[in-house]
Amino acid sequence: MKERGFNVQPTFTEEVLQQSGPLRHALFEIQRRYEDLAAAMDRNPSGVAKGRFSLGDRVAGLSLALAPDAFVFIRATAEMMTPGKQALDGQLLNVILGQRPRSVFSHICLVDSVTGEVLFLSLTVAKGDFLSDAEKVVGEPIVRALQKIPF
Amino acid sequence: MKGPLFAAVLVAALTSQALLAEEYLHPKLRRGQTLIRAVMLLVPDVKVTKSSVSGPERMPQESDRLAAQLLRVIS
Repeated sequence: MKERGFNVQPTFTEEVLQQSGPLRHALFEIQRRYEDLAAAMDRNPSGVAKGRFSLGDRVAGLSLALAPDAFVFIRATAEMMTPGKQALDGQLLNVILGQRPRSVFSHICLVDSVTGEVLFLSLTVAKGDFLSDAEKVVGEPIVRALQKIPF
Repeated sequence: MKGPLFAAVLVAALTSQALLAEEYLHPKLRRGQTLIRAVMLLVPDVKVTKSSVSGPERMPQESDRLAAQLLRVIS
């Protein structure tokens, strides 16, 4: 995002959160609320294009001192299967070829820092060795997705 | 003809990287009513699991590593 000219502010560090109890509490509350919203968006992502999803204006409590335009929520779920599990699932070809199926589902979301509206959602599913080459396997689809954000 | 085609499809299926990539923009962002210039990345929530015969197993070290790589890629 920095390459595209966005001003990327660092995330809240553990030190900052420990110094400010209310900020820590607000962040925890917003992350918790986001879990429910993320599940709804994953079920019906096209609702984002219709402006249906919002975290509410509580997010404004986070941005008083720092004032970014949007918060970026990042979620990812990755799975790797052992050869035994592949064989059990009937993926004998992968076992024979020595392939270790690995997949990553990533969910990147930009939320307006004042209104809480979900402005952008990117969902990607990538396959490959994400542990040794994350930049290529996971990074490239995400970078392509982020280029669609108008600037 | 069917042999090489099948082989090409098989190779593509085995080596493909991105299986799904979808983006959704809020109407305000699409129409330019809202502009984003400054963003703040929040701490990523990443879960890596190893799926074995005995069941799924969490991999916290790999999760942290992937989270750090995601933060670097996105920023």
